[in-house]
Amino acid sequence: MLSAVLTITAIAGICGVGLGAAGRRLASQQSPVVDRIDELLPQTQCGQCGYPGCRAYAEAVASGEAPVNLCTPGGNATVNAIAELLQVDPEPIEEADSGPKVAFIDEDQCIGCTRCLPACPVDAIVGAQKQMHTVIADECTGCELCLDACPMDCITMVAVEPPLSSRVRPLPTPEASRAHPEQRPGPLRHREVTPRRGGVAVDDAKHLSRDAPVATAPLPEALAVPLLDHTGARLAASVAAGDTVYRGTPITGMPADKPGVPLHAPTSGTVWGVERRPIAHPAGATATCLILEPDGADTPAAPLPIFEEPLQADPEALLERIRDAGVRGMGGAGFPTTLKLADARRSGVDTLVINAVECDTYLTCDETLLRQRAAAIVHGARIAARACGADRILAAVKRSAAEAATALEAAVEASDASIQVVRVDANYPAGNERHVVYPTTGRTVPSGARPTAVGVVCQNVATLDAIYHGVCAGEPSVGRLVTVTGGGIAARGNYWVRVGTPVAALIGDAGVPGHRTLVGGGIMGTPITDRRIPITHGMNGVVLEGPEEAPLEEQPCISCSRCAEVCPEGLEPFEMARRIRAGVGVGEAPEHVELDPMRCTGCSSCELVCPSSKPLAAITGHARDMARARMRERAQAEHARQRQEAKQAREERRRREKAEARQRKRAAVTGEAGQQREAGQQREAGQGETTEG
Amino acid sequence: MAAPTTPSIMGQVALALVPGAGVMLWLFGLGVALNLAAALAAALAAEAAAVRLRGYAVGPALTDGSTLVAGLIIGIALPPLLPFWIPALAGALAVLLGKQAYGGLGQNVFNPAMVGYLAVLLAFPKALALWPPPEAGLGAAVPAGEALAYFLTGAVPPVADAMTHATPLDALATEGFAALAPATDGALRPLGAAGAWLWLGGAFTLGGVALLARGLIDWRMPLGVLAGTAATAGLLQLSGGAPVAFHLLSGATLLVAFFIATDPVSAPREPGARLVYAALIGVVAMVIRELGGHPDGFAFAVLMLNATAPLLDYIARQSRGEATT
Ligand code: SF4
Ligand code: SF4
Ligand code: SF4
Repeated sequence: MLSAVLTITAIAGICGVGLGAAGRRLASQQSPVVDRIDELLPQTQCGQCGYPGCRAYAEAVASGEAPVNLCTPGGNATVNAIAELLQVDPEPIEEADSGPKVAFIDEDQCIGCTRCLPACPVDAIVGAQKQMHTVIADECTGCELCLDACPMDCITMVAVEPPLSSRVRPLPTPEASRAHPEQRPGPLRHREVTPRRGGVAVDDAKHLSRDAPVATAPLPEALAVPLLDHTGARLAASVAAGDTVYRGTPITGMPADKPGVPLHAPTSGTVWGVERRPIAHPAGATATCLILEPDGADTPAAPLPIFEEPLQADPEALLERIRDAGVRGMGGAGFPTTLKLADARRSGVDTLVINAVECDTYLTCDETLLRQRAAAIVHGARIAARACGADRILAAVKRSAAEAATALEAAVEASDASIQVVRVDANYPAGNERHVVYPTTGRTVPSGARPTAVGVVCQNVATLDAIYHGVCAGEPSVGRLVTVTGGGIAARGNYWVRVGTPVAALIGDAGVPGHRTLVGGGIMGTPITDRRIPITHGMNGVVLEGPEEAPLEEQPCISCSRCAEVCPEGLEPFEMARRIRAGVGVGEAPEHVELDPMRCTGCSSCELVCPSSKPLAAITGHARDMARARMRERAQAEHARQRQEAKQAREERRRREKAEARQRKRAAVTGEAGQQREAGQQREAGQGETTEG
Repeated sequence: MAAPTTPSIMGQVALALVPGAGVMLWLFGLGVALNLAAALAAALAAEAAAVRLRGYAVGPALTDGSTLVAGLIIGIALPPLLPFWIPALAGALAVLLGKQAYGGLGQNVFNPAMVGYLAVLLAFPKALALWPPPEAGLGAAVPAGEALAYFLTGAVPPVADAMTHATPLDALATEGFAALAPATDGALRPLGAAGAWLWLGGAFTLGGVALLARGLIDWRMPLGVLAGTAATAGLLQLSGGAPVAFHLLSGATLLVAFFIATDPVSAPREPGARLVYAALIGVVAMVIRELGGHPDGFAFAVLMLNATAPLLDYIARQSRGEATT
């Protein structure tokens, strides 16, 4: 008895000491709360909170004297973030309409009084005396300080559309999924799923669309081409309402300073104008789209000059052509191909891999394209290799797509190229370009790096086809092959579709009510609810979910760690999901590599094997969006701070110069004795300045 | 392999426990079935009530299979002759204290079955120390009628004589190594039934290997537990402890190695931490068994290591280095 009591006391003592030590160590890793609040604030330094600057407000919040909801520029997002940090109720601020705003000067009313210039803490207003003034929208932080300075009341705040890259997809919750099953993110349910290390062996549903006939989708009444570049930034249209365009007419200008790639009219017709339309985006975004009414004739514009001997052509000329033809990555990313090849060229790659491993379990568009256009693809690959300087071409095809592999081999045979076709055993996600490199070339791409790091560049087959047509036929890339499949639609198959075609034109109102429509595949697809969403270059499939394929309702995580086993990036999805859902460290730098949502590719392997059907990829996706948005905010805040400091320094300098000039003047007019006195004073002032500085 | 779901995983674990439960039934008779029934019924009732009170859907909670597995483990771990309230209490406490108090499935720090088991072990030490002699043929030592009567009323244990029989572990803990020495009549005294206990160990191993083969449990757990047990028992044997094989083959060791340490919820998540965790369960259990005064070293060891699981994870992650991004 006594010994038991002693033992337990001893154990309790040891545990207590351990916990105490751990607690202290953990505590010391957190930065003081003021710093953390300050980081959350937008750094507009506007003082609208009633404190002199963001830091002062952070201190007031930390000491509990100020409520968390005084920062108007930060909006409810900031309020929530601070409330989360401090574990208090958010008490949202009343916002008439949220979203970023910038000042706008009505130039007709501006009298050029220059009074707003000093009011702006970040020098976002430009103008000179008696000239009208204007606001540089990119620099304006929306602090509203200039409003009161203007005697004419000609400055107003106008809403600006937040950039696509700052949109954060919502954190999925079981309640939301139950209420809106048609919006639940995540892959379709697969029947046979076996976890493997770094991947998943999963049964595919390619038979649904593989042997269906290939058709051309009819032109819809109106096409909507999102005016976005690959970063989500807006492109300016170079055509106006009422203009007549032909298939292949460029519809965006190419800003010289940005590495942009033009968009082209997908068919001939009349430009109706621009309009905001929903686009496929995990956060359900809208974008400005150019609306085009086809005339039905599909008249082509004059083709770009044709390269007769592309394999002897200057690589720079090829890159330029690939850009002018608007070729974008068609495997899903939509990244400009010319940039990818130019980057590969710079990093000196020696191998180009034709990526025909279509690892999504539903899509067959790449396979179909290989069967139909293998020769063009082979030719496209040789052009791309020439453009990026690779002297070896390999092709990776899924072993199960035998027919496509044979077609490719035949095309290689027919050409005089030496291309080795490698059949890979494809566990999901073998088609990810980082994972296709090893089985094909034997080189391992380090985690977090791109294939160019080991001298390899991968190109999707549809992209190569577009390169071929752009270079050898002078035709810009304006359409693609799209797989329409899933248990929810009978008219399955692969369709030639023009970019900008609304999804509705392809699938009509097919589908099972209460079940999802995903664009982009059965595993990584994005659920859409609005069928006006247009097809874009990277959109390879539209999948309509049948009742059998709907994900099961989410259950609590049992920490079985299957998700961590299969994650090809070596992450721990369940631990990330737990923390993200608890609001721990969202948007901050992660504590450990395996908890870094930025490393997640969103492949959803984890979700395929999760016995609890947790929407893991969407949870990490939310954290990734948050981290990105936070990074953007920080960069902006830092930029604003620098501008403010620069302005202060300039004002300080000007003041000093004025004072000195005054003194010099006075020194010039006073006599000898006076000069001596002045000199003494000046010396004093000089000393004062140095100590101040 | 069919896409895993929580009920299917738990169902397979429950299925893997069936051989062990069968051997128990065969050795000890009706009492085992009664224990299982009482523990399961109470656990399910407690789960339903708690989930209801917490405002969640009862259906999915009852069918996820985790309560089934906890009830089965409790029924197997308890001695086969008990008044009904003991297994029932164990089942209910396992669910309420071990699981729901932490927020339900997936949230618990401790293994629920072990929480329930230890709660009644500490509350009713006398009743839980009594094991009838294992006797092949549905527990011929204790007639079914008497077992049932005791189960229902908790009056004087039947066949008082037989009930004084302790497990080999008890004998070991109280009498020391002498318990293993051949008695004057030439037979291994308390270990006379060693063969029967081996059957039980074999049944657990069978289930465990099936789970391993299907990839449902992490091999690190059984390996770690067995290695930790063997190493510590080996060391202690030098100073006069029981033979290593005795510890390794005892039912409790194998039950813990394959079914309890492998519970992913209460174990660490990091592979390295898991190995250490499992090995330490073996070590602590051996220390308690051999040096402490309690034969049930494993239950305590499991709970102790459950409590350290987050720390082990933390250390494992820390030792792998900080994020670089
Ligand atoms: S930053 Fe503030 S002061 Fe400057 S233009 Fe924008 S709203 Fe006006
Ligand atoms: S979605 Fe992200 S976390 Fe999940 S397996 Fe893929 S990379 Fe890993
Ligand atoms: S998230 Fe799913 S797969 Fe990952 S540990 Fe939890 S239950 Fe298992």
